[in-house]
Amino acid sequence: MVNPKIDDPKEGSYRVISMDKYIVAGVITFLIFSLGLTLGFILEDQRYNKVEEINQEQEANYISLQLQYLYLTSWSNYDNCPVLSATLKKTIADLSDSLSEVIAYEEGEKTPEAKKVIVQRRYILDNLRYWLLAKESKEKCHLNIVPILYFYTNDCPSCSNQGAILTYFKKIFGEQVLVFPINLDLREEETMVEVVMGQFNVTKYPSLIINDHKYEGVVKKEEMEKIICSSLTNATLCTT
Amino acid sequence: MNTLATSIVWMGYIVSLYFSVFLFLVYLDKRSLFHNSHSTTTVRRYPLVSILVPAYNEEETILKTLESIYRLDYPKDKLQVIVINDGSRDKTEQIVQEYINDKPHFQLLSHSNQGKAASLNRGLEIAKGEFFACLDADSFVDTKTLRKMIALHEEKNDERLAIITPAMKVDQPRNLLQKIQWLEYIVIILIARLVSYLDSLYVAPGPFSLYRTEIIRKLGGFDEQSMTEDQEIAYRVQQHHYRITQCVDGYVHTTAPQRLKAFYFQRRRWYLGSMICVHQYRSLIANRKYGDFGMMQMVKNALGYILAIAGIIIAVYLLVIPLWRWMKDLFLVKFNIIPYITSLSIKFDIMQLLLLDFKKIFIIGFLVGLGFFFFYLAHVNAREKMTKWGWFPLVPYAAFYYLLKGAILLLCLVEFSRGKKIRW
Repeated sequence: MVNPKIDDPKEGSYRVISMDKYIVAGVITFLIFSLGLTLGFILEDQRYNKVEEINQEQEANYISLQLQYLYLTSWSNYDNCPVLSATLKKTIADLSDSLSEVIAYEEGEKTPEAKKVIVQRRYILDNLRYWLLAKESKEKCHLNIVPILYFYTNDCPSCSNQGAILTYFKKIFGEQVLVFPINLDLREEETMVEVVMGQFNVTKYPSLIINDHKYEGVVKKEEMEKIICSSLTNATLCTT
Repeated sequence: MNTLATSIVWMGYIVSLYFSVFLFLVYLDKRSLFHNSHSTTTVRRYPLVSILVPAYNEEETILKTLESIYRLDYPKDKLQVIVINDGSRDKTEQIVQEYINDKPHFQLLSHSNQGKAASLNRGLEIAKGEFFACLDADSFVDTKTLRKMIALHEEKNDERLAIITPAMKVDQPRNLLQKIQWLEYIVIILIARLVSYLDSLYVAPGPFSLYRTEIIRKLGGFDEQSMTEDQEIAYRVQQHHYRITQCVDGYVHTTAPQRLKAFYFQRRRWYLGSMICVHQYRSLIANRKYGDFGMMQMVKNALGYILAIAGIIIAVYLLVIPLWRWMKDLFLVKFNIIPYITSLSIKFDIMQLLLLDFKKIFIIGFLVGLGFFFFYLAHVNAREKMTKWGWFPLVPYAAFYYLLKGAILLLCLVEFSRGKKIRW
């Protein structure tokens, strides 16, 4: 390529640097940033209050349920079973919705690691106690439900597949299929996880506990359908 | 996402926002110029203009191209049209020969295949015009464009004005890909106009850029080694402090690739060419001597690659990964989607609203807003309706087109950094 030398001192004299625009653009960019940050900061309080509200509501729901259960077992009066059943299903549906939100909140950047662990432990404990309650209520009240205990870890590759299949059946059967997910990554922090794992001798993930029976590895769609249908009575969705 | 990807993405957001705001400020500054968008066609003196038409296997479109030159609203005795047949193996030569028989201001030059830049240089050797224009044989020029450009040159009366660039539109788009490119070119006309006000144009498009013959000869003509001689010449003109100005309504119509493969090869040439140019002229990056061209355009061109990577990461994160997961989940349940549809419910939840990441939302919101404003303004500027081809092309243009371009750019970056088959 030819690259001639052209020397003219005036040659670049028309060039300007629009410094004012660079600065104004920088200021506006900064403002948009800080506006977002400020709004996030203002809403932080609101979020915290909302999370607290959810936690307290969960607590009250659980106490109510436990009391209902205690009440009907101590008088052996099973007339109240339908009420218990309805409350149980509703509360558990709320549990999975609201607590996932709480977790999403606590997993935000600002929350310290220790607090995240506490929230996750609470979630596991909630799931375990509701699972126990569901299991016992099913026996005592002959509830037409399938409680499923679901063990997984965050980094197990096929766990998300099992999760997708469980979600699918939750969509089909709604409140009749109750899934209680237990994250085994927290077994060092929460001894209760070890206790349940030991009882069912869980060594692989994903693992499912359905009707005190352990299923290791991913349970495929067809097999899962069979298991669920065999433990439900007169489910219209199973006849087809 | 790991820390590196996150920081690239944030950098992408900041850089795009900054440059969008900057361009918007340029618009605000020059807003009065947008009211009167018709260029004058009054020319006091008609200088001789040579028009170079390099052609390689262009039998399909060459006649239409030559016809558009023949119809130019400009004195015939002030035009010298040089068709350079670059060793075509089809009937280009015969067709041209036949066409120019009765037209004394047309001439045909034939040589073995040497490439476009070499063809232009051969044409430049015999060009007698004070100005010369190049017109690719797949492009067609509006009758008034040359007059507008010459009038603009008279108006500017600037010794250092070396190149006047056209406003390029896609000619008669037929399929979706061409319609999307039509939209893209409309936006490019506006961006080029804004950049032109900053003396920072860095491409002299192949279709009908008008050059001052003397200056281009002094600079050594076109670079025959370059992949994109139209970018290289613009960078060289900038390097020597000559000016490039857009003729805001000097329209030319060019044929856009119809097939994805042709599109890929065109973009690959453009992007690789531009990377080579930025690398070749890297001494201009953030060089204060070059004013806005050095401080803004060259920096932006260099940062553009980071933007492209950021764009890809964002798109993969937002689009491709969820889509892949979704397909996998559907596969596990044997594509029985009925339960998902029947259990679908729209639930407004204050918590979900509270969980949004406001830092990102604000920036994305502003970017989308500015983007839409520029898109709208671009159509006003080019005197076209946004829905000229219906609403349909707007969707893939907004959703996928930049992803496609980004992917090609990424491939080019890989190829560039490997230095495969590239001369410095």
